[in-house]
Amino acid sequence: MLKHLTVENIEGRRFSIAYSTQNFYSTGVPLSDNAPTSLDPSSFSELASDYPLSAEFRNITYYVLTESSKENAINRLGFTDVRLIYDDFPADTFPLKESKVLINGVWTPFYFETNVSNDGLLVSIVAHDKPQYPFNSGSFIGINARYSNLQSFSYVMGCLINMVSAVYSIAPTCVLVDAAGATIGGISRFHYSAPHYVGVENIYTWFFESRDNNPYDGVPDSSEDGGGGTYDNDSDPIPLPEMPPTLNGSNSFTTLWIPTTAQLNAIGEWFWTDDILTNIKKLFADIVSAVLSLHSIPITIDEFNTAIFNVAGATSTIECRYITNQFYDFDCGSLTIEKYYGSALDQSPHTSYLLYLPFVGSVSIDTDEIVGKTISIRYRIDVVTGGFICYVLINNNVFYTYTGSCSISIPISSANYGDMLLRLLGNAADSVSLVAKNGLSAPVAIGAGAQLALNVMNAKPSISHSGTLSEAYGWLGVTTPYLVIKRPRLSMPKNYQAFGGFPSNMTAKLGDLKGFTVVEQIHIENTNLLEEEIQMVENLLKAGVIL
Amino acid sequence: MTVNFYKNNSEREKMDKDLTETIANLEGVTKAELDILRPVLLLQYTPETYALLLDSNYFYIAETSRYYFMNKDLTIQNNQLIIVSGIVDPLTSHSDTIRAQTAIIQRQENSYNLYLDDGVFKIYQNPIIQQKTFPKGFNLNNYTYVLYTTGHNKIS
Repeated sequence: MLKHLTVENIEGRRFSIAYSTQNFYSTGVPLSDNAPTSLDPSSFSELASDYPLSAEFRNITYYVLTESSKENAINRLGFTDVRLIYDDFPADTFPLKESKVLINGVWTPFYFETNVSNDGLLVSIVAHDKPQYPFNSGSFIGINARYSNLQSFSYVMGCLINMVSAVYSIAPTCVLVDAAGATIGGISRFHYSAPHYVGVENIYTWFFESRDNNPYDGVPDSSEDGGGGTYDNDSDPIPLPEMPPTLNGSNSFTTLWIPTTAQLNAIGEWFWTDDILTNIKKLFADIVSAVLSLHSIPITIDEFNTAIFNVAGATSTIECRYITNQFYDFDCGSLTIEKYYGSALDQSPHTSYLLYLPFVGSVSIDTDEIVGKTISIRYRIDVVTGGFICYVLINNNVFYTYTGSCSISIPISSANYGDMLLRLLGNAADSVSLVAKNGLSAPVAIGAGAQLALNVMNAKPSISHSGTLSEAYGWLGVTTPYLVIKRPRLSMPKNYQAFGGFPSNMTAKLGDLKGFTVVEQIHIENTNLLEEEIQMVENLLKAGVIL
Repeated sequence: MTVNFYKNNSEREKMDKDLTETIANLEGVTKAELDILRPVLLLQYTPETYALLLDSNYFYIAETSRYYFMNKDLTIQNNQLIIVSGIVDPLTSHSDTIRAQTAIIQRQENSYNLYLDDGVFKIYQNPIIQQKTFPKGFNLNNYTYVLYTTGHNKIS
């Protein structure tokens, strides 16, 4: 019975069916002697009652062969838009014609047999040398080229449903077989020229098509593509870069002094003695011009040399430490991000990570990049400027880099102090701007996952945890990096696995499984189950069974 | 037709039912033509049989080689016959056939991959928040002055 044919199934597809409670008689060739020449219209009473025509279904345009068919379609089945096929279709597309196929140069009568399954429609063209009618009422016969897309027509399984249109076309799969079922080759074309015969006139044949055209008709047909990937999971290491050469260290022009507090105080006293002022003013407008900068950085430097402090040709008696390297590393160590659930809940978007970096602020890190891995923080500081680059390494590979400044300037003149204030105010403005734009502070995020990391905070609003923290602000902030981890709190009923199971997506023999099982796809085969039982079993397996 | 009645203590969707036999090898006939999937049986009425049937919810027909869930609408006809109906339990009846099938498994109790996110899990709206500090941070007591000077320095 045609129980499940709905508008959704047929929308946008064109096909034709013929159905009758009596045996079905097809086209062209003379009918066999015992074939009736007409059908009893009353046979449709059963069809009408068994066939659940919805209101939408009735609104589809139906094409029929004869005026009497049209009357029956309207009066008995309640169709509202019934037309004669002759009126709307050119004669050469009219399906009920003689059916012949040219096999190895010989025109041979044939008929169609079709088998419908969830895999699609298989059409077999069975050659014969004499009429083979009537077909079994359970057969489902014929396909017309203009109604080629019948993949979803697998619902038509009932014995009352026969299909005809057919004559010369090729369905999705077309095989010519002989009476014994062996495949016949050499098909070159089909013939459809002869008119149909008496007897066919009275077959209640309904041709229908969806009313509306597909609005995507201009789009090319779907084509097969995909596959052929390399599945290459290799990844190149991006280690911490080598320390760059010193360009601005101590040399004949410049010196990087790193005085102790006592040494600095002594130098300050010495700076303002008359002798030094006199000497320096030979070359510089004032003492400040000979001092490029005075600032402090938040690290200790253990390797240094000592010399008598001198500047611009003026030599003091103060012994002072100095260095020749410009860049120093500060290692904040590593954290291993263990799995919490050992499941998708540990991954994005369920779990999110926020990384606080001293002198930088809080930045988002892509969860999927760090779960189960070791994250390391390494600062590389330029002693000359106090600027730094902060490397965020994951399993010793650089994933993120941020820049900033970690020095505090110590003013040695009013102009120098003014510059420092302007710089600080500028940083504050930048911080506000970044928060306004991003909702979080990521001063410079060059790493591969930086942009992605902005979006991992689930559907809940992302709240900035800090702004830009450079220079003095950084000194006032937290000076140890930390991670803020936000992970879902799972609600797990006791013995959940026995009631609902966990995601599997594996192919398995059911006999190898134990416990609650939900099947996604199965083709039950090699069974002696009744057809209805197969459907029952499939439904049970897809709803969940206990093996 | 030989029928065995049971009390089924298992879920309907369990393949291997936990059965307690209530009546063994009871002879009966079908009310009409045998519907293999939905048989209706006529059994000889005795008060003892009826009482045992009331305690039954499952039966097996040897001739069809199928197990059935017993409908609870037991009918006594003229104090002579008991009408019993049921619907086939295809899962148990064909367990060997089903176990031989191969399928794509959507969810499973013991064979699973928790990194597949099928959105079935439920989570509370109060997430777990943790903070983890790195082993080492900047110690501001260990600062260094940097005095950067220019102009014909002598450091050797």
